[in-house]
This record gives sequence, C-alpha cells and structure tokens, in this order.
Amino acid sequence: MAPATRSKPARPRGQPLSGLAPYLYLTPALLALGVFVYYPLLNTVYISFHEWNLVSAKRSWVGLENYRNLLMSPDFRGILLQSGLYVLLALVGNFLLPVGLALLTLQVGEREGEVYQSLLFAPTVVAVSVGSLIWLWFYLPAGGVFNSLMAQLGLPPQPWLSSSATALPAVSLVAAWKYLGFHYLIALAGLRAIPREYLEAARVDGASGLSLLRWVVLPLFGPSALFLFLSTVIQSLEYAFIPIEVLTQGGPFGSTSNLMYAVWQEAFKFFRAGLASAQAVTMIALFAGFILWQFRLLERRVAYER
Amino acid sequence: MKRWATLLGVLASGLLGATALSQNVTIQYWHINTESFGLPAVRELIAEFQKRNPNIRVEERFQPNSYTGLLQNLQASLAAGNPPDVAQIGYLYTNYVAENFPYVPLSELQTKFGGDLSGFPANVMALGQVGGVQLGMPYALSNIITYYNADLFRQAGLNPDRPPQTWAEWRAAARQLKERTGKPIYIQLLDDNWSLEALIASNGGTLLSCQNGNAVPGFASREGVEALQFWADLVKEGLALNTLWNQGEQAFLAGEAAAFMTTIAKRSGLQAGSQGKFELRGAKFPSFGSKPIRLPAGGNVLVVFAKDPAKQEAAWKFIRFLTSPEGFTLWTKGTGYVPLLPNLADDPRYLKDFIAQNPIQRVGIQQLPNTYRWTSFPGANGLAASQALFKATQRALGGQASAQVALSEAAQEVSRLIQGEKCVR
Repeated sequence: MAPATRSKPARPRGQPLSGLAPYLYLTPALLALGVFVYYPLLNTVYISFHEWNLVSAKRSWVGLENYRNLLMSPDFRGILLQSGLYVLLALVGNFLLPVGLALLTLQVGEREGEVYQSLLFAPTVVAVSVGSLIWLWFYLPAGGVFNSLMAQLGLPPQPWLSSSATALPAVSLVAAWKYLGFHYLIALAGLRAIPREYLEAARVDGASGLSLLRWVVLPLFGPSALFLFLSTVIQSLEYAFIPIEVLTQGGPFGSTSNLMYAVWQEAFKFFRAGLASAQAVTMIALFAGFILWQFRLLERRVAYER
Repeated sequence: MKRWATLLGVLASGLLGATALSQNVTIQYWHINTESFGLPAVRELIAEFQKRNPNIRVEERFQPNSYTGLLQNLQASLAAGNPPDVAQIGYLYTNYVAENFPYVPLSELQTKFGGDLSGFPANVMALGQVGGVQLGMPYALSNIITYYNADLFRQAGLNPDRPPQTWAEWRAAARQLKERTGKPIYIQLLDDNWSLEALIASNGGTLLSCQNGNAVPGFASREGVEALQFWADLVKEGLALNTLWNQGEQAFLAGEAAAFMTTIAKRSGLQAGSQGKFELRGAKFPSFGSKPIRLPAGGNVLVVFAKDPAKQEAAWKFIRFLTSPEGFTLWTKGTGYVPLLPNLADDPRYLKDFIAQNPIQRVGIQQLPNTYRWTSFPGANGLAASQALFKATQRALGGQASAQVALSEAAQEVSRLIQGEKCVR
C-alpha cells in the first residue's frame, strides 16, 4: 500500500481559525440541516399539540390530547407491536442473513463469489414499487404463483395478504428481498477489510473454523456490523413502507401497518395532522432512545481499528 | 449582479408581454383516470375542446390512488398555494371539500360567465350540492353492477343468458361454480366502503342515521349485520374472494374469478382486458329477496379552484364542454359512466347505437333509479370513521370476528369520532 500523501494546509501550522471564518464554513451545512431537519422537527412537535387538517386556517390548540388519545388507543398499541415485529424480521432478513451469506461467500473462490454477489445484488436495482407489484402476483389469492404451487402440492390456497397471520411476514419478506443485496455487500466489504495477516497469524497459533470466526473475524467485523445493525433497525420501518402500500395498504384491519405508515396514513389519508405529528414525535423519541442505548451498550464492545 | 437584474427584467417583461398579446390561457385539470380507466377518453375530450377553443390549453394531470389520492394531493397543493384549476372531486368527499377548501361555487361561475343548466334534472344537480350550495358540476356517475364470465358459467352448467338476480340465487350459482370450475366470485373491496354500503342499503339499512339532528352510525343495525355476515359467509365457504380491489380485478381478468361486482365505470377497461380471453357479460347488482336494490352513486363532481378570472372562465368553458351532449358521449363510450343528460341514451345522434350494441352499459343506465347519494361521514374525523368501518369489514371477512361484533365495535368508535356532528344532506 502506498503511503498516503497529503497536501500541506495553506494556513501556517498552529494558528487557529479565528473570527467569523469557522462559522462561515459551517453555514451551508447548518442552513441545510436547519431548513430540512430541525425546523420541520420542531414544527412537528408544535403541530402535535393541535387539531389541524393541514389546510384549514383553523388550527386549534388541544395540548396533550393527541398524545392521550394515542396512549389510550388499542390500534396504536397494535402499531407499536407490529413495528417491533418489522424490526425483528428486518434484523433476520437484512442483518443476520446478509452477514451469513457474506461469510459463506468468503469460503468460495473469487470467481464464484462474484457470481453470488451479482445474483444477490440484483433485486436492489429493481424499483421497490415494481418489485412489490411482482410479489403481488406471487401472492394473488386466485391464480397467484404461491397458491398455484400449493395446489400442485395438494395443499389448500392461502389468503397470504388478507389473513392477519400471514400478511405481515409476507410484506416483510418483500422488504427483506429488496434490501438484502445491499446489506450483503456492506457485510462483505466489512469482512474483506479484515487484514489477512491477522487471520494468518491466528492460523499459525492454531485457530481454525469456529474459533477463528469467534475470536478473530467477528471482533474485527464489529464496526461494520454495528453500522449494519443500526441502519437495519432504523430503516426497517421505511423499507416496509412501499411494500405495505402496494400489497395491503396497512390491512387487513391495520395488521400490517407500522409507525411510519400510520403517520403517513393519519396525515395524508385522514388529514389529522395533529395526531400524525404526535405519532411522529413518539417514533422519533423511540428511535433516538434506541440509538443512544445502542451506542452506550455497543460502543464499549466494538473495537475500532485506529 | 446588475447583469442578472437586467436579465430578469427582460425575461419578466417578455413573459408579461406574451400573455397580454395572445391572451392564451392554460388550465390544469386533475383527474383519476388511468390508461385502462378512461385516460384515452380524457385525452380525446381535451383535444376536441382545444380544437373548439384554440386559445385555451388544458393540461391533464393524473392523480394516483383514486379520489383519496387526488384529495391528498389537492390538500398539499392548496397548502402550497398552487391548486389545479379544475379537479374531479369524488362524491364521497364533497362534504369535506365544502367544509375545508377554498373552491369557486357554481353559482359564482354562472353569474360571471353565463351558461344554461336547465337541461340537467334536479336530482342530478343535487349530487353536487352540500348544504344547499352547488359545489360543482356533477360529471361522472357510476353504480355497482355484476360482471360475469360467461364461459365459466357454461362450464359450470349455468345459463349465461339468465344470470342470478338475488343474493340467494348468486350463492347457489357460486356454489355450483366453485364445485365445477373451482372459481369463486369477487365483490369489490376498497377502503371507501362503497360495496358494503350497496349491500347494507339493498338490505334496507343505512350507514348513517340521524338522531335529534346529530349524525350517528347506522351500520350496526340488523340489516347491516345481516348483509356483512352474508358476504363473510361467502368468503368462509370459499365462494367469494377476500382481497383488495386491484388483486380481485386481476383474478377476474385472468379467468380465476367467475364474477366481479364493481363499478360500471370499469366497463370499457374490463371489456378491453377480457377481449380474446373470455366472454364478458353484465347483470344488475343482486337484491336481497324482493327488497329493492339501493346503490350509492360513485363518480365525481367537477370543482373549480382557479383564482384568476381568466382561468376561471376557461375552466368553466371546459366544464361546459365536458358536460355537453358531445362531451358525455365521448366520456360514456370511453369509460362506462352513465351520461347525466337525460335522453342521450335514446338519441341516435349520441349514444343510442352505442348502447344498443353494448348491453353491459345498459345495466348501469337501468340501475339509475336505484342510485342515491353516497354516504360520507361528517366532520374532521370523517375519513378516519370511514376507515374504522373498513377495518370492521376486513375483520368480519377474515373471520376474526362475527359481523355483529365487528360492526358493533366499529359503531362505538365511529360514534366517538363523529360525536356532535350534525346530519348533512
């Protein structure tokens, strides 16, 4: 590896930026963040204390009423539970599975590895709405691919998307299929970044198979794994959004909805912006809490290579 | 800096000069018509209109997800101060638009720009009224009919020339179809509760009733429960599909469902989709025994949102053309919607020949006397109330609860959501 060369800074060493300059440099980023993140965020909190339909000039202050309604609502409890299920299923489909596949890919030769990479990555380039439509055909109750297969096996047809028992896993599977390839590539890159010398040194010391994996590979894979884990959790609800809209629209009777879909539905389908904002604030708070907890718990265990 | 200002100035004066000189007006028309659901007719109508009014340009803008989707986007565009000039507003949402949106009432357009509306029957105009105010011009009118696959009927030993008339007959036919062909029937299922309302109303019930001037849910009545339970039993016995509209339509067009209860507005699209695959026929929506069928009117009102007087005038001219005999003729042929001017169906200059050759279209027209205004739940929570009823329907159809339990629980929730709302007609 060639040593990195860096051009010398124009500014003489040891003389800090002074006056307005640092703030000036920060301005573009802060402006963008302010306009597109922090202002909408604060506005959402503000709207969550109101009853408002998004267009009416009448926006009435209702205090904590929206939050109280959410806490009392069995629908909302269902939505929280289902959101948890989406996260868990996404962790299986978009974290464990890609990592496992990446580990397996390392076992085969480079040529074969490339073939698997292309195959697994293929769904990523399909637009998620198009992919969802393809799966809709698979799931069709009459004449769908899955039910035709069931019939050939002599099994009764299943109402994949209209039964609350199968609808959520069915939707989640589409999201997992769509994003598997991308997460797999991240995992593979993380694993390939582990310096070979370490592996060889461990082998010389007598490590092999599982012990190599447990004591050398996985610890060094930590930072990539943390990134993959967090982004899977955070994006799991979003990943399911379009499949939900195409396949079930949150049904049957709300059983495939999740926090993100419910926010959208309340705001832009039922025009109850206050309630939607209260849901959004709850969601942001939950995820922010989760991320903080994650960092405290995992930062200590993840050894970054510095 | 200065150069930019000059350039902007030149551009601005150029634009202003252009409008002042040629007086061309461009208006935007929002509709819900997909390629298989009337978009070709929309294009044809616009081309014809522009030919007659060369100084007006109409830009059509398709809005996905039917009337709900259009309303969502309309809401957003109003919030952004950039609404369309004319939009199709579903009958279900006329109350909502009247209460919440800044529209131009029809009387204002008529006073400003003239136009004789005496050819339209009072009951047709009433479709576009809310609280005595004419919100817009009733344009599309549909009702729910039964489409069926005549080939599957023959295979099952049923006579396609004599389709079942009542639900009891349909149930027997569905059983025979299921036994001999394995194919179920399908009743449209969408979150607008349109087909459920047709079932409940045809069984003598209502979605809403009025108590001391206040709106209260009426669907948990004996009639309502019976109607939904009937549907749920069909599903339970495997005689009817329980699936959302787009999936049910695909099943029907693929020959996997023997009958499809859905809007007459789909007539043209279903004819095109079934061509060369199976013989498509149409029959009336089934009745419960000897009770009269009662069907909520689907379709839309054209409402003007333009603020600029020149655009308002252009929009009004466009609406007048769409609701002229020529306009309705193209519209009915290209979709299936029932023409709102009486006598067009018997007039050889307009639709007489077409309807003579198109018995399915005749069904929609025959059902016109059974068609009434679609019920919408009032107030700011009206759409959420509608969703609560839809969830109850899905619970009953999925067998998670009996129709009795599902509807009673939904009635409690809807009562809470529409509490204090007055009855509106």
